[in-house]
Amino acid sequence: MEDKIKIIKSDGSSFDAFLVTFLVNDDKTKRYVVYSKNESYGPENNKIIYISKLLKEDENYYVSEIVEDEEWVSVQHLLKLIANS
Amino acid sequence: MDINIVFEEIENKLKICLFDLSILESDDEETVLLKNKIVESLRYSLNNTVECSKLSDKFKSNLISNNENVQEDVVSNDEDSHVLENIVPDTIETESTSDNTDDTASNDQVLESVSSEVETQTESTLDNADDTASNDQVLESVNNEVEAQTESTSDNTEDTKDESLEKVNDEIRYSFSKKDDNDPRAILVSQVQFNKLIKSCHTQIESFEVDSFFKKENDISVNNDGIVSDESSESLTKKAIELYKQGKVDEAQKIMDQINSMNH
Repeated sequence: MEDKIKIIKSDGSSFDAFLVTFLVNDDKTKRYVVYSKNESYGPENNKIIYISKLLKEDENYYVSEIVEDEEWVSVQHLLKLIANS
Repeated sequence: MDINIVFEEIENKLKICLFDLSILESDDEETVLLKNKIVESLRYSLNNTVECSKLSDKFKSNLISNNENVQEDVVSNDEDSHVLENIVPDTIETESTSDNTDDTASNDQVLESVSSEVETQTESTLDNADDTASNDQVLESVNNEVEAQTESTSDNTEDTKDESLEKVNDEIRYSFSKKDDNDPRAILVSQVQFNKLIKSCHTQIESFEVDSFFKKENDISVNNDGIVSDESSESLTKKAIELYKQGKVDEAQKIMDQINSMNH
């Protein structure tokens, strides 16, 4: 059963999503949360998933979006390791 | 049908012959002889043709008895047509022709009605042209309806959101605050890949090292004083031991440090 997460935007609004999984890079310095909004796309009902970077500050975790393409590529690589296993 | 065709052919030939005879107006011996020969040959043909037996008696008698005065009877187009009228009823085509003739009048009526319909349509078209302004009003009303529906839909959406929030609030596992206003990066995965990713969630959390934030309550329980329960402490200790055995000293040490920090 998928866990539900809540993401609170900087303007105070929030939305709920379904937790898919977490990703950790090889040196465990970066963590990512993968979530879905239960959205499908195309005739094969492919799932749309979102990936955000997890940042830890004062024992609390925040999410930040991936901006750098290089980082996005490495995240995709991490994702593929699991999805295509 | 074939008989009728033969009839028509014979009839046409006869008519042509008679017409030709009518041209022969001269009373000289040669012409009279020619007329007689033609009439004889026609009579012979009539008597020896089965189909000709169906010709009207009047037609035959007119033709046959016309040995001496062929021109009068035969040339008369009225009589000819009269004779033909006797034959005509036997043919369906002619009936239909007459029907068509009758239909001509009715067709005219139809045409009239069509014309009136066209006029009516033209009028209605004109009415439509007049209605253009009212169409705008209709559009406006439709737009208003759409807006109203959109509003009601948005209301419903809000209701749904509220309901889902109420439901989700009870089950929300993690809550994250966003640090920026950027949109998240998205990617498409197949259903199979999606399921694999979901299944990997527990494993991935474990790979986060030891962090109480991501541990489920049944995995680790922290009381209000931040003290880790014995059960979770034991499981973490076991995990640390396993890591030591695997030669992952640093990771094991981090777990032990985490346990110590939580208990103090």
